[in-house]
Amino acid sequence: MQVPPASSSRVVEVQGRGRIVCPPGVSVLRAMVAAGRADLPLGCRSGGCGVCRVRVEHGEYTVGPMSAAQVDAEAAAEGIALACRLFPSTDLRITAIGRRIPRATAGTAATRTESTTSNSRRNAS
Amino acid sequence: MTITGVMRTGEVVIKVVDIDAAREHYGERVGLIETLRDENGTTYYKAWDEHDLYSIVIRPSDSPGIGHVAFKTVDDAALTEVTDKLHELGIETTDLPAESMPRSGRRVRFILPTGHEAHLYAEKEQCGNGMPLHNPGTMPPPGTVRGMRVTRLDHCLLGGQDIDGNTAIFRDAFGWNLSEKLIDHESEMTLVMFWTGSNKPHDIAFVRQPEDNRFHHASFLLESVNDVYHAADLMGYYDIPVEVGPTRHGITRGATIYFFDPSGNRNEVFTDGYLHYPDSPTLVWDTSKLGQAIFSQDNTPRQSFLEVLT
Repeated sequence: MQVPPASSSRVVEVQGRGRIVCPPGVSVLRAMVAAGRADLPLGCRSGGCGVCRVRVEHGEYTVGPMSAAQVDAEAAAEGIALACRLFPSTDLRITAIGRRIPRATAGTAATRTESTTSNSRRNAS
Repeated sequence: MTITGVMRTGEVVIKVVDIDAAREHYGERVGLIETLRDENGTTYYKAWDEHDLYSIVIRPSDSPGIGHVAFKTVDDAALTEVTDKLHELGIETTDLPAESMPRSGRRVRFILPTGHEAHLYAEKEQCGNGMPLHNPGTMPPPGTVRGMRVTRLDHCLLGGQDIDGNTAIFRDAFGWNLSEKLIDHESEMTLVMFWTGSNKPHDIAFVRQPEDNRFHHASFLLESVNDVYHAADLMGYYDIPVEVGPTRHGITRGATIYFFDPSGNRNEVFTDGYLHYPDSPTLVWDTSKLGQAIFSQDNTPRQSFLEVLT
């Protein structure tokens, strides 16, 4: 396998946590796991559960398929993404915001955001 | 035990965001057998040793999670009988005509107290397991058993608020037994309930969650612990996201791996466990032994296992 040149990796700064070096074509979350880091919480790693939801504060990126229950079109336009589906085009600065939880109250679109204070955890898989 | 009335969890519909990736996952990696596909992309699978035409259905959607879960009754009379019991319990039902799910007979739809859509049905076309019915031999044609070597859909675990409310359905209408439960060791609130309608440790389970209609996992039965290890090797080879590698549950005593499909729905491969009979006492675990209850080799719970659902 050809090792990509170091210059093409992007640096992702997770506000208040640390920096993830992200090789081309590798999602932010996958790069984090591969480096043995735990800057963001780890869930399904497949765009579904939303625990790795972030706001991109600065930089350009592309995304893969994600659950609309976690990132709808409006949120996507505001720079919200799931780190497991986030591919940096430039260096990024991101903030962990946790999964989107619809309120139990029927008929309201209001949501709250889960605390991410426990996100230094890692799976033992 | 004599299986009467509602036989099993016979069908789970899983919503997927990327249908092509999901087909690769369920068809090629897990190794289920595709039997039908409709114009919307909905794809129907069976595990090799099931006779019914399908048990796992993947349906395109903008978000992952569960579509519905369906329970098969022994015959149409049992379907009517269980429906009457639901009505006696005050559960509203809707009749669905034959073919509302393909090659399947009439259905009765209702909503569980945990918010999940459930169906009862008595009829579904059978296509067999690849072996003759007369002098069947001991194995299907080579190549039939593929991928993770799944033999059957085993059970599913669903999340919602009123898991106690489901008791009326499963105990009183279905006549199933509570094989095990996990309770909070201080408040004694029930956190997870395991229901069986057969000799298996569970056919469906429910975990208390702040949101209704949530999907924790669908579980696929394997023949042996060797096959669990083989599945783990495949997950590594294909870089499938694994939550917990081969280990054993305290609850059910089953050997397990949890992993995720490409839309983030949790899957499990499962084998072993004990035999349940109607006179088997309900086993109770409490959260002072949470680690052992869930993963009994390292006795350590995983945060994601408790919090990640679709």
